[in-house]
Amino acid sequence: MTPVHLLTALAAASLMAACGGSDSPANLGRVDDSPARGALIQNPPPRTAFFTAADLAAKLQASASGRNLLAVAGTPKCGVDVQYIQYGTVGGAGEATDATGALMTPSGGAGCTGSRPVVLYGHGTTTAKRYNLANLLDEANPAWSEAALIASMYAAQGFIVVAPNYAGYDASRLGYHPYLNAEQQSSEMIDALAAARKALPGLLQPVQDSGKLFITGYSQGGHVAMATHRALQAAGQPVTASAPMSGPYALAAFNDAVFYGNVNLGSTLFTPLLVTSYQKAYGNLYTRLTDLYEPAYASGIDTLLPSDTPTATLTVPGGRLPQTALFSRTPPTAPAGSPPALQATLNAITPPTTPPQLAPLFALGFGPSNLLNNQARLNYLLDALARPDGAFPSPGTGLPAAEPQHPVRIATKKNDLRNWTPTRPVLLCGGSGDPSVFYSLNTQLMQGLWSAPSPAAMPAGLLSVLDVDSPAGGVADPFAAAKAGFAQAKAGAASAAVSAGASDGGASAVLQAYHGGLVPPFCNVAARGFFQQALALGL
Amino acid sequence: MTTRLLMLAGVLAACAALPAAAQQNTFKLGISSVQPRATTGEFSGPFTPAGIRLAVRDRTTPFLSYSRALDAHWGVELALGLPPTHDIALDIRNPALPGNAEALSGQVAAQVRQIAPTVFVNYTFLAPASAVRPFVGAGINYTHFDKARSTAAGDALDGGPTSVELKDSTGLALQAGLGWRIDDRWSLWAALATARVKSQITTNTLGVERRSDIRFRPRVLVLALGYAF
Repeated sequence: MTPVHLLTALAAASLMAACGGSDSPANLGRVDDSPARGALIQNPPPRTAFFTAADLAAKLQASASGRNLLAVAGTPKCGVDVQYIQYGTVGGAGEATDATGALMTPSGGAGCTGSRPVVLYGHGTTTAKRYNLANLLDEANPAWSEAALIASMYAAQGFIVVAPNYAGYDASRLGYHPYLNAEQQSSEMIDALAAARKALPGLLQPVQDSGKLFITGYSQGGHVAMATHRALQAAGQPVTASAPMSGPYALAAFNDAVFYGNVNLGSTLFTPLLVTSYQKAYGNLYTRLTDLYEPAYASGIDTLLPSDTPTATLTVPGGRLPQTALFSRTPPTAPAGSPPALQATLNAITPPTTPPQLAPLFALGFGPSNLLNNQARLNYLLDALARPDGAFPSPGTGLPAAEPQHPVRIATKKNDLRNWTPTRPVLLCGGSGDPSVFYSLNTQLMQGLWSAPSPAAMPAGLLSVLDVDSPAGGVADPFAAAKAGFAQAKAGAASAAVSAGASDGGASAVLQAYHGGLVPPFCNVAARGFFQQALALGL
Repeated sequence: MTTRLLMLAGVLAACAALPAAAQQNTFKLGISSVQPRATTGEFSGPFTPAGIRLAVRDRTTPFLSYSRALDAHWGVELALGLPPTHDIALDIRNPALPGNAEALSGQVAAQVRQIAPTVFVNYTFLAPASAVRPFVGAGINYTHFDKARSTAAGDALDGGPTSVELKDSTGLALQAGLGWRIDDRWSLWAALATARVKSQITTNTLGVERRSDIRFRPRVLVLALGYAF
């Protein structure tokens, strides 16, 4: 029987070897389960996409929108690695939380490796909870086009890009998004930057931070970028230059204008995001949701956004949100005993009919199925009338109201960025016909505030302002190409709409595409040029 | 896993405890060519584009079995072998992927060792004294995968250091073959065996988990020299 025992022993040895096999997760880096602010949760972070310069060019060449982007951004000089970063940060009330984002790094030859400048990028408003800028291989992700934009604009030209998805999005454990909360969003940008810096040495294709820091962002991200520049400057941290784009910087003036009936395109999405954000941060915007919202929309609206349901579904008739009607078409009723002029004012702004070219846009903000109730609008307006902003409705100091009383106005003032002066170069870029974030009340207002003879003026030469929707100023105009490109894109959008049967000369199509589609590539390419110039000048 | 080991140990013990008869034990030693013929589904998980599959490559490995005759026709066989380590190659078919990702197609992304003890009940035709005796067998295959590791190409595609795991599988096994009697003790054997092996492969790349079902329809060709005692 000896052979049998031998065999048994052999089999047992073989099977025991099986049990001792090294199939447990190994070498997977370090995971921080209770991350402090700025901690990189998974270090090193996973790479989620990698392109050579030629791959990226080929990818963009494959679609019409990609070809348009390539024409503006230029041929990629560098390959791009995309890493998914997860970091510790704070919520709107200072609570500890986490969030995710993209770290894009250049690769390839000279000008792409070694010591590279950093672009810290804030993305624009989105209602899509699964928005993930690190998902550059998934064209179905709602963040794909913005990810492709920043990859080709910055990373493919040699910049390291740090682009948070923001707390409340993607895999963040925060149950809401601290929308336009200047303190939270700037803190989060700084945390994402700190985490990204920790990630750089351990990447599959490592690069180094040159120490040059550029901050930019579009729309909501424009506000975030400016708030981040302000926060870093206040903390004495170096910023090389910033280029906020199409952002609601003068939030208190802008929001007053909206309540005065200058309703912007997208307001029925922006409003719930903003109200929830400030309710979470300050706790005093409402007691019951119906204090602000019409009963038809109030239920669950505080947890509605961001959402995995597409915006188009949320805003179908009978859906969770009205498409454009922020306010009732019936004017609010002036309180008993008010001067008769008040009711006349309320009537005249429901909806406003001036300026005539904007009247059709404002009218879209009014309807029978409106989001905010008339009492809420009236309460807001009574405070705005008694304690007006210095920029709206009448230009004055240009500054926010000294002591607003209405909780929404107190909150917007708290997040208004008219209270600082940058000491580093700034480019403000936008389009003067923007129907979603009004240029005059934000970009132009900041320009006035930061230019002589304003007491808050920046040192001469540090501020540049670009309205892409303005005539090019000849060879001396550094932004002539961006302006010409924008004009061409705008004309293209109009003629495409006309070809598709539009009878308004394409005006409506241009309006719809203006903020989200037409302006961003041209402002980004201008921002990149501005940053490259700062590098060339050694600023 | 432990339960299955105990079951196997039990079978072994049962074999060893059977009543002794003349030349009822046979050792076979030889080589087996293991063609895993695996098909995988597409990988799913975060950051996982469509069109990524795996191909498990063939391997030839030493073969060892012990069989015990129960009577003139019936017998029990435990087939083992030096566990083969298979190369797992990438099969990438997605034109939307960047060129340098597609270029990894065909490269070995991982290696995994396969330990697949199989117990057969065999029926051998013709009389024991016949020179050539065909046989057929049916039984149970247990496959355990271990020592799975991702290669540099796998890490590059997956996005960083990656662990690989495959689930164990238990399933039906079949074989058919021929034995040539050389003398009372020595014989030559050829067999073709297969088994039903269903597993799931899980990769973890710095926290990003991806999964794919993997199904083997292995074809195992065995050539062995037998010694009876």
